[in-house]
Amino acid sequence: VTTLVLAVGVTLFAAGLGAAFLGNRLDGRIAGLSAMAAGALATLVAADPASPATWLMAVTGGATLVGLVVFALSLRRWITGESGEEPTLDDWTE
Amino acid sequence: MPLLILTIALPLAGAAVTVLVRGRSQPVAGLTAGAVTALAALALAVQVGGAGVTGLRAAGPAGLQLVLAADGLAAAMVVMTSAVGLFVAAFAAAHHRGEPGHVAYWPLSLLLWASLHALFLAGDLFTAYLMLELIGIAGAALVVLGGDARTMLAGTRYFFAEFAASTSFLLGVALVWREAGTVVLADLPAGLAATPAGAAGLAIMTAALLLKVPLFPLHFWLPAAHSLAPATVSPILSAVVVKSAFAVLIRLWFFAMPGGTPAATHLLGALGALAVIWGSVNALRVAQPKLLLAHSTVAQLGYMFLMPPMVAAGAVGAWSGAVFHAIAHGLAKAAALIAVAVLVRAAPGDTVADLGGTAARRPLATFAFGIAGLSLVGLPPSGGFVGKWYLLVASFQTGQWWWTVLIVVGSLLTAAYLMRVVKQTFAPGPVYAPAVPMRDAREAVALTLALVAFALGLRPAELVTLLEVGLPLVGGG
Repeated sequence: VTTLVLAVGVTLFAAGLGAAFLGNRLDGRIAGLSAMAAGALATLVAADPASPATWLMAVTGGATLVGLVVFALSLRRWITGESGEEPTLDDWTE
Repeated sequence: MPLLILTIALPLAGAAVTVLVRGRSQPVAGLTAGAVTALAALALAVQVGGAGVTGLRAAGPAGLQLVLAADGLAAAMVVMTSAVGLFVAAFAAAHHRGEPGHVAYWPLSLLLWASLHALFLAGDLFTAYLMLELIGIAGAALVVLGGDARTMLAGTRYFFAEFAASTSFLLGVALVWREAGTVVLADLPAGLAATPAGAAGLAIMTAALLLKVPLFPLHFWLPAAHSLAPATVSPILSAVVVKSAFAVLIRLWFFAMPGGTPAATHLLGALGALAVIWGSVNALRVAQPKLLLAHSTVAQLGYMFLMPPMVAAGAVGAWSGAVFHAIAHGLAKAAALIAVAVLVRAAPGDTVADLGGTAARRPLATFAFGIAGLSLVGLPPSGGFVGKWYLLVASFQTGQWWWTVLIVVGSLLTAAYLMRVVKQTFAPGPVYAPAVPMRDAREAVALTLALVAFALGLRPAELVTLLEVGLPLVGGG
């Protein structure tokens, strides 16, 4: 089970990384970043599930990651504003 | 209370107080917290310089080991952060008198300050991860404070890069935890990098930190975020925040896996060289002085990454050179950005071309920019010169002469793009009635900080000696 969780975690992280950097929409990017966070947390738990320290790190790390997701969603709301229109990929280029 | 706790607790307390107060009390509270934090940072550096490495190890809940340690590197970075933080706080207090800032500015900037100190002092990877996250969120929030749509986009890009880097760092921590059973840097086994999980964890953390620094070609988020951030935020980002990931990176490379692999060190050196050229060429091309300085930051960060291949070849002086350069650049870049903020406010627009005549209207700010520029170029006897000199000597010692060529070319390019600004301030410009006061406290802040950056090179021995405390490369501490 531990190996399976580890494999799922790493796969989720890799898929999220792809979505976060290749996505064209804010929603997709935020979903990708959230998947990366979930993958990293799953990998952390799978590292040593018998250790209470693992769970402490996972809970603390998870709480801060939720904070990051909430902040990302707030940024999305500020950017789209009342119109709800998202910037296109062109707006994301330097 | 131990000094290394005080350096974190004082700005944190300041952040809490500035949440509670409003109006003119906010900058007073922020400045007071900044001043006592700077005193505590200075006392910590004196303590580390005299008595060696000081640290605290606590067995947290569930047996998790949490470590705070102040060696020479940590103490020096804490002092640099406090110096920049205090000058920027003074600048912000004066700046917000004429242009009221966002109510969240002081709490966020003090939270960022405390997080930076905690990161520099972190002796374990999990604390470092938490602080990297806090720095990312506080930094991005400061960028978007009261910003327009462009600033919001730039801040979001910056935040997404920080988010991706923090999450990747956590994945690396998980793999190291799995392999080593500890996240305390000092307890990591010597052969960690030789195991597949350990090597993967260290490689992922390295990549995450390179995105956070950022090193070319991962710098895509920096120029827009740093140049569009408020004038009271850009100096902190460009001077200190970019150095925070660098400090963790060199700890990882030289404490946890001493030296790294030769191929990897040369790759870092090559990317650093490309950063110097890429950032400098872009700084020559762009129209806005703040964007010019942001590209300059990309370039100056490159010099710090010339160090790994030279240290791997046995030139320990390259370590001192790179860290000295990081500190000198931090002080000089903050001074230059404050000076530019003053100059742009005295100009009809925000481009270099608009700066005509500003030397006459803002002579102290122009002088401050020039003095800071001397250090950024690396002319003797400035602080910037000392860092580059150590790197030059190391390149000769190791026979890696190509870094010497790069440093000389990079310095000439730096002089060229900074001269664009200086030259234009003396160009003829529109004649105004004295619509702006001729005496401006912000100019004095910029000039004093620029002089500190310059003077760092007059007595470099103290800082170089401090940097060697606890450095495993020389068996110190």
